[in-house]
Amino acid sequence: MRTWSKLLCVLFILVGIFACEEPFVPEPVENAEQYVVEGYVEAGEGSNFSYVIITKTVPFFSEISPDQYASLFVDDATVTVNDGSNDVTFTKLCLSDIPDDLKDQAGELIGINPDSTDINVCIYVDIFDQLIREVGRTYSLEVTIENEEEIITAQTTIPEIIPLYDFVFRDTPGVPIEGLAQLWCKISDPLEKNYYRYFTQADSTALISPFNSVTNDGAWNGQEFEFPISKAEPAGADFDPNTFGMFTEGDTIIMKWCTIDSIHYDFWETFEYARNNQGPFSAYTRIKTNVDGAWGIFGGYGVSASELVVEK
Amino acid sequence: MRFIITFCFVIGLLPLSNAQNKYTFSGYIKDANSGETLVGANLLNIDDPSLGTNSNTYGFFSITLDEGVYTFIISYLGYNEEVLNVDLSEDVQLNIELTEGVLMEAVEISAKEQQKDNNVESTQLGVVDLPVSKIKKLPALMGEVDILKTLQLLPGVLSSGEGSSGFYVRGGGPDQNLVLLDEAVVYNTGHMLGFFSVFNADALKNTTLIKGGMPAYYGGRLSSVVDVQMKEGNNKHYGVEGGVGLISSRLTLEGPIQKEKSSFILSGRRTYILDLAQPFLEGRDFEGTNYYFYDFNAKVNYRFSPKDRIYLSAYFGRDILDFNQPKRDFSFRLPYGNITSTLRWNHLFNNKLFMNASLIYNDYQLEFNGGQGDFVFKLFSGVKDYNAKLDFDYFPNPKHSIKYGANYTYHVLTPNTVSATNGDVDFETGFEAKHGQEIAFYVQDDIKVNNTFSLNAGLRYSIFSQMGPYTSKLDSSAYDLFESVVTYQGLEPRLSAKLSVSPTASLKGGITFTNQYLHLATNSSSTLPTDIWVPSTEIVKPQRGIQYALGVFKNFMDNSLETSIEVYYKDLQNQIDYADDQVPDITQEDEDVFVFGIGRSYGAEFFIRKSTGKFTGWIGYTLSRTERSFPEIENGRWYPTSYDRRHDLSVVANYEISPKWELGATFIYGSGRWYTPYESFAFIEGGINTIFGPRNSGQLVPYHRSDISLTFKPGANKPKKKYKGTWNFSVYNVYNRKNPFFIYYDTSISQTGAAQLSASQVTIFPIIPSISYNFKWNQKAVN
Repeated sequence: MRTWSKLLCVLFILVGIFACEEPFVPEPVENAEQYVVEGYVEAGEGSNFSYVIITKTVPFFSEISPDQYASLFVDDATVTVNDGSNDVTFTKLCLSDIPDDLKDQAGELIGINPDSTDINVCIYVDIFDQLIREVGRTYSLEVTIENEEEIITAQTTIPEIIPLYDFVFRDTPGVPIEGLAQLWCKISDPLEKNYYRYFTQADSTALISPFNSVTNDGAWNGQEFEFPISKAEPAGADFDPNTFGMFTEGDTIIMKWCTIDSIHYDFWETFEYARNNQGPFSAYTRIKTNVDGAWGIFGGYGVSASELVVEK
Repeated sequence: MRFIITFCFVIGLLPLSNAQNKYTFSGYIKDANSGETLVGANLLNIDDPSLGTNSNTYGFFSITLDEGVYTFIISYLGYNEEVLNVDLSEDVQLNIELTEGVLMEAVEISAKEQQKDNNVESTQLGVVDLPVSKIKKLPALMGEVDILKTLQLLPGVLSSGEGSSGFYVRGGGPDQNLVLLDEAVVYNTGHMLGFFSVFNADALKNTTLIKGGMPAYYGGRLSSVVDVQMKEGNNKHYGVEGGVGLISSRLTLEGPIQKEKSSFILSGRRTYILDLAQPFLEGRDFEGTNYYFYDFNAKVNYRFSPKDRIYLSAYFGRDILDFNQPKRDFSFRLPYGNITSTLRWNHLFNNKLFMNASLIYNDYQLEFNGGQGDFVFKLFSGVKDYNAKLDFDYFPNPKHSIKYGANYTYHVLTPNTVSATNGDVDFETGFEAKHGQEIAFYVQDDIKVNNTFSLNAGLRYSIFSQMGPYTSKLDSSAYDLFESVVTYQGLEPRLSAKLSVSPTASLKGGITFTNQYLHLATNSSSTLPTDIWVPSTEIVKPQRGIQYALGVFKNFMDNSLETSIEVYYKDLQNQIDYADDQVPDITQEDEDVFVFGIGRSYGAEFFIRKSTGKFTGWIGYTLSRTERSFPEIENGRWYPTSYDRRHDLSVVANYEISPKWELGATFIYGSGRWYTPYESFAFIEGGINTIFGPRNSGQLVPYHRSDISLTFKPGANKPKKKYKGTWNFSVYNVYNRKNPFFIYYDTSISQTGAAQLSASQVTIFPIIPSISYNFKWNQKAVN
């Protein structure tokens, strides 16, 4: 349906030959600062360690310098996750504590370039991998922040892993483009309701999610079928309708396919719809958060990751 | 059904048993040149102005008076008046023909002096008749005359967006307007995403807007009625009419099939602007991409006896969007549009009792067929009605004008049904069409109690049943075809009253109860062809509304200047919307994701209109507030809707410089549209992500613009010419106001980690000049 709305906008573009634009400065909206939680627990082949990032919201039209950005990261919190068997208190890990060769990876995680700034930000990590990360478990997050009365809580589960298989790279659709290929794969979707999210790593980018990274099996529940996968493009990348989503032959890529629970899916579905749905006929969409006492996401991933060489 | 027929004929024929102790003057009021019946023409009894009448929707009038000789003035806007002496020593049946033309000022004033204007005299509030001939004289976007955009210039009627033909009336949603074309419901009134309406002005005769006291004759919507009548076709001479504009051309043929007994009209219109762009797309990424719309109106009528006439009218319109991206093997076709057809039988039982029986079919469809490689995707949605109605107009005496009847409609509403194929695998949403039947009975009486006080009292009783096939989502019960799932019903009393305080002034008040059983919810900021109509079901309750209205009506300058002030308050129940975290999902049915709430709107409308003379036009100003509250949206906080415009001003002016030159101008001002602003942003996955503030808590800058038009009629001083051409020069947005159509945001993070945020407003219609040429050929030259 999102594609549907976008396609309608094509019509608007076709007729909007007179359109012009100019800067718009809206009235500021009064709002209270909120805490933002972003945390994940993963299980499966290719899964990451568990971590939680705590930041604060910023009024929409504030100027944000790198120093101000760094000040949004909360470093006086106590973060505990219960995996159903034990409580694990995450360790505060600041950029200055990380060895240089891991800083780039950490920078990508939190959205800064560690080489270009000397700011120091902190996140909370299950540094000793004490959580039992396995399919079927429910994880409860509890965050207390110094001098704050309210406790931030959230819950997530890691659903059964449903991997992709039979990966194959084929010619780009329509007129084949030399040097590019489209990735196809198969899935055998179980009968119950399932939710998925994926990431790719290609063209020397980090492992990133595409603009529409989540889907559910509402239209194909219980079926086995083949479908194409688009390469995730970094934010701000140039859009070329003929090459968008295609992989470069010869590259080695990572395809990370995850099952998620319905609340986790709701967050990304509303998040991406709100982000992508701008235009003349769009309406606002409020993002469904699963965090009580703050805004954000605490999600579990059932991971199946594959390293693939792009060759037809 | 048997009950309806029995009701209609027993109740309908009762007036036949009335003893006649007075005499009746009846007939049709028509255009002398074309034989077209004139709707709402005024028949004024000069001896006692309170004992006059108007022609009904079919041009029929009837007035019963004591034996005597009476003088009547018959008038209709834009036509020369007729003065008739009628000897009522027996019943008189007479068809009256009026000649189109401009009155001499002196005659006009003299007639006006004796004529209480309908504005003051009528018992109804919030009713405006707009002859299409008047609409054609106003400036138009790209030269495309549009009746719905003209309605937006009236107080209480708001445009749904820049350039849009969509409209909101007194705080009602877009689904709360009943739009009828020859009695058939038009579910989607827009071409090109609403930038142009589906109504081709060349094929139309008259448009009536009812925004206040909806008479009991109408039902099924809460806010307003737009009743559009197609021309019947000239039954005296053949004629051709058309126009060539920048984006479309039109052609209309009409003439007698059997002179003065039967006639036809055929009218078509098609856009071509993107057809012309096709050569420039050859070899490019989007070669073959095209968009166009067309529509076709047809009508025939046959008078097979002095008392019987049948009409068959039809409309067919389609928008077609073809999108092609050959290098990616991606394409889709998106056709959508309406079909309506109406078969009507007008029968005169006697000179007091008029009957109209109609069979109506309307069908709105939207399809999407597209795909890439082996992947094929199809979507269909639509709404289809089968409608039978029977209406009687009974004129027992000048103090009563009674209308009653019954209406049966069977609705079939298909939600988005999706099927897709990917190689050997098929996907289907499997949603079934929803069925419903709607039955209504009504009676209304326009009662002239005395010379100063009159009433329009009506009662409508409506029943709606959701019908099978359906499987209950509440208890899993299965219902077969035509089996009732749930039934809703309601009495809808309608009352309006008028008290004349002087020959040129009156006070009016009214209360209107309405029920609405079909609904359209949209999560877009505008109405779109993809919006889905849904019926009331076991989950979705009918919308109900009550409107209270009061008005002061006063005419000046010998009735040539109408003024009015109307205030209203509207209370709305069971309003429907999507939750604010709703994401469209083709695998979900709309009724499962709706939220329900309440609404209110109130306001004051000020109106001044000059309808006669060389200088005509109006000024309308509305001060209003419209709010909704839904428990699931911000805990029931009252918020202004997109239909809320605190201030709305329209100025419309038309000046006839000479018989050859005519100048038109409009000015529009409206408070800025409400929108939901971003409140703050947050960092997720290393990127900037935005969080919305309270719903509709931001306001865009006010909207205003002025349009002008100049019409040149080179043959105006040669009235006997059979061929007449007219040039129309229009400038839309003459002072190039950059009104916001929408705003968008851009967020990014620089290499140094600095966040960069910006918002832009997009204007789609700056100053746009246009030129169009319209022509008319008539077999017999007329003035």
